[in-house]
Amino acid sequence: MDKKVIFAVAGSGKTTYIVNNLDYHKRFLIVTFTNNNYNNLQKKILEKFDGTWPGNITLLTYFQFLFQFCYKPFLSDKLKTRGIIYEKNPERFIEQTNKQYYMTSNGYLYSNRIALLIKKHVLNELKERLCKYFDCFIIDEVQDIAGHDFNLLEELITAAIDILFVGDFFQHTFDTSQDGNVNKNLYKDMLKYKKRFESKGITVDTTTLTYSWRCSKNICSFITKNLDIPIYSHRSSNDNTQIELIKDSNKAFSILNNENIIKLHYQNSAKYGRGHKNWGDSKGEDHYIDVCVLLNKTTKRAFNTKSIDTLAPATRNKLYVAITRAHGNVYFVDEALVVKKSNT
Amino acid sequence: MATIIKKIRLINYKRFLYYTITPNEHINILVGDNEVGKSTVLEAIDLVTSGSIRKVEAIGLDRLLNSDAVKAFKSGERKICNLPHIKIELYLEGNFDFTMNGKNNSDGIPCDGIRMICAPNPDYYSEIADSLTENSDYFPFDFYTIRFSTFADQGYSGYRKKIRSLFIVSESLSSEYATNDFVKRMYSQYTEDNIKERALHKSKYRQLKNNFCLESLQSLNDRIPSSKGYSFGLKSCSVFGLENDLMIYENDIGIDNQGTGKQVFIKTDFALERAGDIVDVILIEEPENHLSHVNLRKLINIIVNTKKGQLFISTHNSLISTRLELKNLQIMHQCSSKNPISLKDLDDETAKYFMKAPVAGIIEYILSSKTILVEGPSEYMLFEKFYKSTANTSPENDGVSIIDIHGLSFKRYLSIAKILGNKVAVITDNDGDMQKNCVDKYTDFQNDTNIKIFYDEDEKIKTYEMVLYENNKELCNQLFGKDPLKYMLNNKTEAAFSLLNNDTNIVVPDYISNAIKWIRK
Repeated sequence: MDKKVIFAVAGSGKTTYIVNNLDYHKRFLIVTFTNNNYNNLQKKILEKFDGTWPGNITLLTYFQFLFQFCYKPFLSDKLKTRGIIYEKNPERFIEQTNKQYYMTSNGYLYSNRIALLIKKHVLNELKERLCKYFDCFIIDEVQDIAGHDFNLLEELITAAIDILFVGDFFQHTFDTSQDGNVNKNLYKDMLKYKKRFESKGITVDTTTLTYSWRCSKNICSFITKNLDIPIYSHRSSNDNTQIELIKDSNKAFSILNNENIIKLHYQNSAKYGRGHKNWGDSKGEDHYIDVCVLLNKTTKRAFNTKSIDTLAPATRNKLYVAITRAHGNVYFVDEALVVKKSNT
Repeated sequence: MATIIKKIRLINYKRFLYYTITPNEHINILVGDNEVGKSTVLEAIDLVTSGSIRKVEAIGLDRLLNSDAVKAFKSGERKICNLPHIKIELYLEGNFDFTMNGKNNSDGIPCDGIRMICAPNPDYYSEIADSLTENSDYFPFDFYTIRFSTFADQGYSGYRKKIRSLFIVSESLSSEYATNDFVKRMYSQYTEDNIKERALHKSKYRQLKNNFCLESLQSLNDRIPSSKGYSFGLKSCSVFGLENDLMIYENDIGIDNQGTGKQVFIKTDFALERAGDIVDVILIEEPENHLSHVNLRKLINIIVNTKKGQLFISTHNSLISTRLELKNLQIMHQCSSKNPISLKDLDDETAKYFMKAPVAGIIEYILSSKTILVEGPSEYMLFEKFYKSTANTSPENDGVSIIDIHGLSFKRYLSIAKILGNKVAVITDNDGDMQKNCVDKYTDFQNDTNIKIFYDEDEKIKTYEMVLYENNKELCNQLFGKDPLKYMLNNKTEAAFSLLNNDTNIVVPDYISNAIKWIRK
């Protein structure tokens, strides 16, 4: 069995790497988390196989995988489930042995506890099922798997099947699920995270995908230096892309008014209308040339004091995602300069 | 690999509370009395494979739900959780992906399959609860929902067929709808792998109609005053498209213009042609209806020569049952039983014997729980009279069948009784050697309490005619002249007929009356 997890950096060609590994011979199950990535993979797989979808490849989003592949075949009738609810169980004092711990009284499963339910009740059958239908289990964006989901994943690694997981530790911006203290600190320490994989007999590859195709040398070194996230570039050093904090308000306005430049906010981008997105939501996007990253109060202060690496990990990771969207230049602009749509 | 049905389970469906059929891979002949549910089984398979909610609704849930289950609910605790569910499960074998496999079946083990479930809709639980308390005789049929899903609990519809079936029903055969449906299905199954061809047919057909309008209707339309913009043209909605205009022809005669019998024949023949290839399962309801004996034999030959596909044939016909081999029978007794009885374990030789032997009421024999087997027509003719004078009632009233097996092959019939467990009395002659002909011959069955051999223990009275004569000397002398025994032996059936028509009571030979008394117990 070939089992490996690749720690990659932004723009290093994760999707391409996965698609290059596909062929007509093995039966592949590919699971990915964001819709962006699902669409990317779908597009690239179709390109690779001349526009027709090979019957030996199955592509699922994470919750499709969890609910339709893992859960329903075994427990659907037994627990009379009707669907998933993407909320946490408000009732805090129920035992894990109680059905109400996992689902609402009218049959909806709490999304963050499905994996626990599966791990407890059908793990061995699920492993058999995985091996029965697939030869190779691929997860893209493995860094999004958290909480009980990570525990389930750890168990599935040991199934008799090839494993290829690809992810970027620092792009961990949201969790598949959180549940109290379960794996709460998983994404705080990369070394410990790595060890969790290694202890299950899976090879951790930290070299293959550490060079970005998308981001220039300038940008990569900025990130390494200021965000304390190691990332290198395949691009030539003559690539004169800029990464700068725009202080001149005229220049800032011309950037803000340029429709070809995407504006990325820490949060609440919807208030600013078309052409604005949140940092976290831009993950998986690969079609921006220049990017304008808007700084709110907290991040502006961190910029000024050169202490971006001390931002809360989730904030820092989202900022990393935002910066690394750029094929070309990155402009940092004070969010206060942007006029909210609702005010105009 | 073609898809086959490994197991069928019906729960609360029509007359079945809980019924399981384990079909053969190729041919299945469903036999049983009227109203035992043969057609119900075929219909169930058709419903699940069709994945059509409309089809289920057309039958009506109140007719689908087992009436005993409804009664049990009404007399029990009227709670939502006690409401009966209808389930039809088809356990399948074939080349499927992961969406077919799971534990959502009544066996609770992971396997491939599809099912239909009718259950109270959870969205209306509060309304159901209200109406249950309001009205004590109410049953909430209207709040039931129909769902088709695989054993992995993935929904499916007729659009994506998991298993392709074809239902050939003789009753509605002549109806225009049934024929159109058959033609459409065959067309879509023949063009399944070639969607382009289908699209091409449709567009060519539309062009053809357009051209007709342009070329042939033009001069007509020219005569219509153009000021208002009216004109003649062909109907254009989908009902008048290609699929609805298609017909299948046999030697230039459309099947819709043929008799019902011929239609059964053609449809079956046409469907079987690609069995196991474009059709996985073929359901044929009582093909003997409307078919002459000669055509029935032809049809049987076609079925015998079809080597692929899974067939389910419901029938009352002994010829079909024996020629398609008794081992393929699924014998349905009462609906209260849990499953049909199969003759899979019948020895090959016996099965072959019945394929070649004259068709002597084999279905009647198999379906009857009490049978008296006799050697020939002369016994058979007088038996009812014997029965009445011994039991004071008719064998029909007792549910006893009398079957003439045309010879001495009782053992063949007894091999079947050994499997089925039905009560069988054999009436046979000792032919001068009681030990050999009546005891040693049947040692295989001496431990079967449902089987008993009856014969005259006086070796000097070798045959049935001699027995008759010994018991009714006076009457025989009167009826059959100088040498009555000789006449009786030479004219067995004529003699029996004379005795039958005579008003004088005949004395019933002891072993025969013993047999009648035993079978009635």
